[in-house]
Amino acid sequence: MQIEKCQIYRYGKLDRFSSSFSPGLNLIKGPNEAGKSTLVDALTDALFENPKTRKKDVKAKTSWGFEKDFEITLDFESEGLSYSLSKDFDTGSVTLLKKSTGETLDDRKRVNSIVSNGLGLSNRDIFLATSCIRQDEMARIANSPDAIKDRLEALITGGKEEALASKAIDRLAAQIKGLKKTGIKHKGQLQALEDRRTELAYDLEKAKREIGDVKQSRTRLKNVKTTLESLREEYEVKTTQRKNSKLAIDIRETSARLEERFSDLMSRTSNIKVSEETVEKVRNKIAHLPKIDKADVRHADEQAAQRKYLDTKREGCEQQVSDLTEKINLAKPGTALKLMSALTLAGTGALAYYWYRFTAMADASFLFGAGASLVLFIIFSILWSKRSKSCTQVKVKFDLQKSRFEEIEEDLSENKVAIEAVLGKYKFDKVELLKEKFEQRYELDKDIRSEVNRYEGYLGEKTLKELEDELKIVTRDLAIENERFREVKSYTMSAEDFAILETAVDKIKKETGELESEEMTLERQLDFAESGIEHQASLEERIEEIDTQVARKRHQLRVLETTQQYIETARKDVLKSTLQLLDDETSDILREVTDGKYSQVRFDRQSLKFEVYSNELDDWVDPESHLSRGTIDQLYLAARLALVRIISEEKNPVIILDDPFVTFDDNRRRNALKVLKRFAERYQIFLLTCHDHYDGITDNVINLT
Amino acid sequence: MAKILHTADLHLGVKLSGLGKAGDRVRASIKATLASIIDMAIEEKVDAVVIAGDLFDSNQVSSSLIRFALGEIARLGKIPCVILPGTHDCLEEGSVLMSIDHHEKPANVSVFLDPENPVIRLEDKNLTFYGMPNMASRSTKNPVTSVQRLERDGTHILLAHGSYMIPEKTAADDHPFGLDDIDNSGFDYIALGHWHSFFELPTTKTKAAYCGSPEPMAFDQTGAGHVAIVNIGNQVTIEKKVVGRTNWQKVELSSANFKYTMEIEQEIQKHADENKLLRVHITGLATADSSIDIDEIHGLLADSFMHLSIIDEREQVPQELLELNLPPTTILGQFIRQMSDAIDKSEDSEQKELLTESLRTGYALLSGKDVL
Repeated sequence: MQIEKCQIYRYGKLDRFSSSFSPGLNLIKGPNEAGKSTLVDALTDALFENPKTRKKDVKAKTSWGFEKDFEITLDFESEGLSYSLSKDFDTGSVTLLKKSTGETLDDRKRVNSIVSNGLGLSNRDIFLATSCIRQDEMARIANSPDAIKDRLEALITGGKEEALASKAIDRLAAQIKGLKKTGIKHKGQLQALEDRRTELAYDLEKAKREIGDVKQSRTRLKNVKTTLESLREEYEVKTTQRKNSKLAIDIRETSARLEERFSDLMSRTSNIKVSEETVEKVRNKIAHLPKIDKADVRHADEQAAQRKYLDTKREGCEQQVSDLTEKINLAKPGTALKLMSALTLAGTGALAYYWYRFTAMADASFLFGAGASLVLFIIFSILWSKRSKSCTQVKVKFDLQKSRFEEIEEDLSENKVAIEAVLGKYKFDKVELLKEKFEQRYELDKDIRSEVNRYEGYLGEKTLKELEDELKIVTRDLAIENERFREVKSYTMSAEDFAILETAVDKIKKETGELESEEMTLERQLDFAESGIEHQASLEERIEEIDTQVARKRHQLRVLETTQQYIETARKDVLKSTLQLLDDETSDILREVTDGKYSQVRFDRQSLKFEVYSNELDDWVDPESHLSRGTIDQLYLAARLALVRIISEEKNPVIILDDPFVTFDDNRRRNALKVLKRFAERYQIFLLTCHDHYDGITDNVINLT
Repeated sequence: MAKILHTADLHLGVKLSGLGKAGDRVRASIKATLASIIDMAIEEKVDAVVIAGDLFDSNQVSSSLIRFALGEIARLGKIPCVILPGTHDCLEEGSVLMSIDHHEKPANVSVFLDPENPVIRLEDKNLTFYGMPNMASRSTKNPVTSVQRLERDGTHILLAHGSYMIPEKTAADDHPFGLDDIDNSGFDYIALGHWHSFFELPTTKTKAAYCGSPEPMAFDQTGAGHVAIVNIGNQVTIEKKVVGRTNWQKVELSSANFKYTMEIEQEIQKHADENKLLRVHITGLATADSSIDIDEIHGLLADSFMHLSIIDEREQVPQELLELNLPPTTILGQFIRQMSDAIDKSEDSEQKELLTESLRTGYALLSGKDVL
């Protein structure tokens, strides 16, 4: 491409600029701030910028004080055809006039295609990276040993100064590592997300379980409440039954007590009245009876008893006297005994005599008879003697008894006097009457005492009035109780039925208690169960969010890995092919700019570090330790120009050099210009400078003022 | 003359898919909106508040949420509140509304719990409410015709939770009812629930309306966020009152209009509102020279919204990179060629998409753009 003419309006310092250019080397000269760099920017924007852009940094380039944005027209020749390219950044229009045919293109893409095709450089970045060498580039290269390597890689990568394929790969690797890293302390994003998801999933499961429990609890609670309700109703019925039944029993017991009390009081009050009457009657009776001294009664009684005793004694004594008289009579020996004694005595003599006389004592029977008669006589004599003695003894007794009898008679007489004295005192004729009256009065007194005791017993410690009042109260209470009983009469039941009811009530109470306890537990559980569907929703939403993030991160990881893989492959391929060309091209140019001192350079295919062959040392050397800064600058210039050739291939891009050799000494500058001149045979070169070093190297000089 | 506040479908405790942590914020907003509704009922001195179903999103909501809801409703004091079980809080086993008794039900709350007796009478106000409680989330039972108006004086209001039958659109088991059912019902007003957007039915005799959800719960619920104040006299007037505090909005931004992240960020920033849930769809072409970093925008702006999601729907255009015609002697040029070849050869659309994204990532990286 050859730029033939350039017209610039309202572009920074160049508010109105027009200049024609020649093929080959064009020297654009001007002092500082004359607009050299502005011209470079304007040419770059003319070639590559979209006039429709809204970029503020582009819009800011419009000259100060103009309402309309800048406008640039470039006339150029490319592949034998002449074009006029106009870009109006105010209207956003682009037009490319094909001078030979008069055809005008306004399609930006097509225009860009023709321009980049003519340049052999497809975009601004490549252009700036290869054929546009800015003022400060060489200085920066000189300040950093790795800069040339990085710069070269940036150029090879795609032109952007800040883009290095190796760094892109490193950054991708770091990102991939950041995503994939596992571990506890320094976990990668994916693992962190997955860990968080696991935690949330655990919480979710827990929440679901709790919610399930809550649901069960609610259902159970509802059932419990329903059961409780019916149990309470039943309890109410049964307790009312029990209460009334109990009441009926109580009323009956109270009534029974009251009735008993009523009877008691009735009986007592009635008895008291009877007692009072009885006492009165007895008192009337007593009033008719003399008051007899008990000692007199006792004395009279004793005397009566004495008399009775004496009478009995006298009678006995009299009997004994009579008996003794009889006994005396009986004890006197009888006539028979006397006759028998005489007869036996006479018989003994008669027989003893007859025997002696008439039998000459021969016949013993008479003797025997005389003996027997003698024996009888002896017996009769003894009997006679005994009876006589006995009679005497009886007579003694008789006399004694008779004496006693007389004593008794005397006592009786005294007794009679005594009795008559007592009886006379009370004008009674008999002791018995006295005693009877005394007894009567005694009995009546006793009756009164007994009746009074009874009376007092009936009263107790109360008065009759009190008892009567109490009777009234009891009567009233009894009526009330009877009335109460009438109300609960229907609830009366047998003891057995009541016991069954009691058991039923207790059972209901127990069941109610258990259910109430369960109800309370369930309600407490429900009150404290904070897990609800909203909590579950929150967890699910977060899990869903994390799942989305994980999916995105995984996708991102795959994208990064794929990107890394393809960049690595592209880098490897490019370095392999391009670096070989770069080695050769750079070596050629380096030889020229160093006057043959260094004639070979080679770039490491992986690291892009380069080595230079030293003719002096006859060996490859590390430029860092063997080359001067100036030589390294030369090497960079050589590599840069080599890249123009490599990247533009058969095309001829415009080469712009914005005062690049300010750090070179005269010799190096001279050699550099020599190379430039050679390049100018093929490429159109714009050399911008504020110095006079280049005066005379070309006739094509444009002065900026 | 009766004045009622008609609300429904609060869905307390609702799960909101795709909102992540913002779900908690939306649920908190719904709770705050319930409090606002109660405030409004007190301020408007309504005769009653009716909740036509789905007060709760589920029968498994937490006790604390139930306590909260009842606590708010209790603030109504003597204003009665009539609640109908809906499809989400239906009277199934473990029903949340059946368990309300266990949470010290306020004296002013009445719930339709008995399908055999779907009538609640407020003698002092001469109001009769009817409502057939939903026994399951799905049912073909008609919630309008299954209740008969009683022959007595006063105002008769039916609460129904179901779908207005639109042939081929309404599911047969979505508790459906028709316009004729409403017109022939004889009620003074039918307070409907189930639809989340405000909608007054085109009836001729009996007025009936969906008040919609007081708070939207999805980006497509554009008609949500209201309650209805209904005056029932000789005529029935339905006043739509805004109560919703969250603002759900979808925005489409074409990448053609933006080149840099900052530009899109500024555009989205214009919508910033802490009560807004914003879903941004970035459409257009994912051009090679565009460096829009969605994660960066989200990171910068997420705190300015209740929820912000940015969905990259840009078309991936790898051909454009090929058109750049970068020299194969550069790594970038080589990379583009090799990736483009792989994309062309790939028959798996997912793989193709992955490769395309890798191409754009690699291109950005090798062009010096900080995309990682």
